[in-house]
Amino acid sequence: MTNFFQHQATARGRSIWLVVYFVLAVVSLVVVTHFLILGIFAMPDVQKDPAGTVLNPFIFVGVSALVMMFVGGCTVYKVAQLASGGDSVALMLGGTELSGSTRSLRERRLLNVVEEMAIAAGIPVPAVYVLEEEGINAFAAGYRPGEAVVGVSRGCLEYLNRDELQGVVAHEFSHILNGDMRLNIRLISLVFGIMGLALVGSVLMRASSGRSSKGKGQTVMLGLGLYIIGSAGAFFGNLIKAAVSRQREFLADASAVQFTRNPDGIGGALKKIGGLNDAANIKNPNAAEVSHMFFADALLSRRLTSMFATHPPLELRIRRVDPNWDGEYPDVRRAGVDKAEADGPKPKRKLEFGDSLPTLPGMPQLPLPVLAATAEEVVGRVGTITPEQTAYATELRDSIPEFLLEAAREPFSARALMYCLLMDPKSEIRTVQLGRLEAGAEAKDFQETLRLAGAVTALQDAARLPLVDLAIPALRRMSPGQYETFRLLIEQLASADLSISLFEYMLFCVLERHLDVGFGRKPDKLTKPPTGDVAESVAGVLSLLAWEGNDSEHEAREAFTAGMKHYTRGNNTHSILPREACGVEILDQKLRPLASSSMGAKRRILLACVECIAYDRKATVREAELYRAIGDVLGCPIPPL
Amino acid sequence: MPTVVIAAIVGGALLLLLLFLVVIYNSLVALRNHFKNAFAQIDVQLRRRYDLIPNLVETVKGYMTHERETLDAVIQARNSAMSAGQKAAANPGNPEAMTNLNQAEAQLTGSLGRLIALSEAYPDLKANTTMASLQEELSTTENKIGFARQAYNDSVTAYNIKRESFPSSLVAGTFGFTEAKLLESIDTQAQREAPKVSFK
Repeated sequence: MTNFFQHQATARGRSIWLVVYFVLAVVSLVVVTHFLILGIFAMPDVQKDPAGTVLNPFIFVGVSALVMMFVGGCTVYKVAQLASGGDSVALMLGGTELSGSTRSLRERRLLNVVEEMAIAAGIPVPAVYVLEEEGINAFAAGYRPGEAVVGVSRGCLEYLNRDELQGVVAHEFSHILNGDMRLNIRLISLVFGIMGLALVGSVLMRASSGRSSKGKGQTVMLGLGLYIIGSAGAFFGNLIKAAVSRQREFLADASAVQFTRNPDGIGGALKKIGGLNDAANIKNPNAAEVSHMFFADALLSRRLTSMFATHPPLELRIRRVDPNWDGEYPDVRRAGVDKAEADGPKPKRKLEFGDSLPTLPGMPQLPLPVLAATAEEVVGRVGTITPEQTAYATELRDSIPEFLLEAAREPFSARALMYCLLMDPKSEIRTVQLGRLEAGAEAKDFQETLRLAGAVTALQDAARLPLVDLAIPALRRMSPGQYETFRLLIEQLASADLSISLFEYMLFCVLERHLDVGFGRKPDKLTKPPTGDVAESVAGVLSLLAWEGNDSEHEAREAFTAGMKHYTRGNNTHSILPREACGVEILDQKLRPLASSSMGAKRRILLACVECIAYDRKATVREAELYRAIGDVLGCPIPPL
Repeated sequence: MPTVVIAAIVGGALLLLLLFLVVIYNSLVALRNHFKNAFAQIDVQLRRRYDLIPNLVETVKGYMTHERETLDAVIQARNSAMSAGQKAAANPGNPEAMTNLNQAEAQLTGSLGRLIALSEAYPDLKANTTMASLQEELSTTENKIGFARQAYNDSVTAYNIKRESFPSSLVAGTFGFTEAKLLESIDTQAQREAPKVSFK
């Protein structure tokens, strides 16, 4: 059974190999270019003194420095361009971002499907772009999950039904969750870097065409040589790129079936591509460069030559998903859409809204229905989506009043919503907060906050974090200036009670990980492997978890021991920290350094956490939020328990 | 030997220059895409507003039978703002289209303001729940427009600064990155031509 941790580890392993290939490629480029230059400019010297000229350190260093500068410069440039966020790729392909307040049912349906998947996976809702292309295709882009965007062609909206759309979106989410996008960007940049050499060659050939005399022939030859070397390098680079991509496509198809547990969804979408002649074609000229990011092969010409195909053959993909396929492609028509289909399946039972719950996270102990699974199973769900979770996500979303959902989709009111979520239940602190808000925010924002505040305080706890996730795409649309004000106010509101609650910490985490980067704020980078006693840090985290999840000291102790026992495999020497020492700061001080540890280590920490939570056979909203916070700090997307 | 070195240095310098130009060009494209995307966000809200206005006029009609002119003015202003909006959406940032939109929007806001002011005089209308919810929705939409406009103006400013500053101005001039125009605040214009209420 492969899981999130292994997929991530594989992706990382592949990235390391890519670096190795890349170094090898650059070394061979240097050597070949070295001989090329010697052959063109210094042939007489070579004949006179072969060993001395070939090994002349002056020439060799010069040539290697130049080649490395070209290739490295181009690669770094491309990484910088593509890693600046998924939206740059989407815009490059001519996409337009879907606004949350869209009136079109087809667009609404797509947004709903994406929102459900994101809540079910426990990641912020990615921005959704539509490409005005007739074909059926989709892509995911972005360096980190927080900057991910999902792009879907107009044809997808027109031809696919809800299940098929869900299959396509699930496929793209698999790319996001399995760390494929980072791999993709490195691959593109590598090939681009080598192509840079060919580019120099062609520039040299053209530049010298105007000149006369003896230097001309040599420059043309140098240009031609560089062009051939670069092109040959890019040829092999493209082969590697396509081979890696094909593997990840099979994985994403399989994950899509696993996420939706419905092979007809993704299978149907693939069949429709087959049924509609040349249905996956993307006409935008920039598509070639990012061809392997797409759902299906976007370039007609590529599909003919299987070595360069970035995607496995369509028939093979369909057969893997649906072994009983009769080989017939369906007749494709525009699928109709109505309000009910756009909204998604109605939940069997509504989550009781309000339900006399206390209003802010901290106090309540609400038993969640799930968690009947073993710790292995719970942690196995990290980075995956189950249909139950999607159903739960749909229910959760439906339990939020319509006008709050609308507010979350609009940058103006989404900010006000975040302010509301931070409002303290104690009236004296709330007064301070409102005072700060009135002073710091514009009058309109302040009024909007007051308008939404009532409904937000009435929200059930389990819906609060999903509401933040839902608001992320809208918040991302602020201008940098607006974002600065917003961040300042968030900090002022959160610090009004002179302590940071778990929810506030989570909100900071989400903002930091998923918005700050996009607005050019650099997060603290952690590259150092964890030092010191890891078990001691884990003990700190588990202490917090145990105290938060249990009422009596006895139970907390037991829960802590259960978790630690699992972590240390039986020989635990640590004891629970005193209650006073367990604040949210522990996550910052003890857990954060662990974020750079290996995937296996992270899995063990999460397993221990689940053991600790599940000790009393029930999970509370508070525990679930804390678990999600722990996962978030570690960089593992945590679906709702 | 020196020829190799000279060729390499010249080649390297040329390549660096090329790379530099490409970086500038791409950042200009990115900024342009950003403000176009930002305009799309205003456009959604503007359209929402245009959809709301006929409903508002329909509701008001039954009560304000003697204000035919004001109602016609609102509808007319709405229609011309809508067509200006469509032109602007087709070509965001274009100075002419944006100026037209600015003017049309100012006119619409002015005539709407007059309508709302007049409607204060009709107690039945004020008590009408449809009217109240329409007005509420209209003002929310206007707030959203204001916020989206701010974001648009920020990104247009960023684009224009980049476009005009050296050395990117050279690239911008060569490749036809034309100046983009801000969308002025509709509020201030409306304040300038505030509805005149006479007490005759």
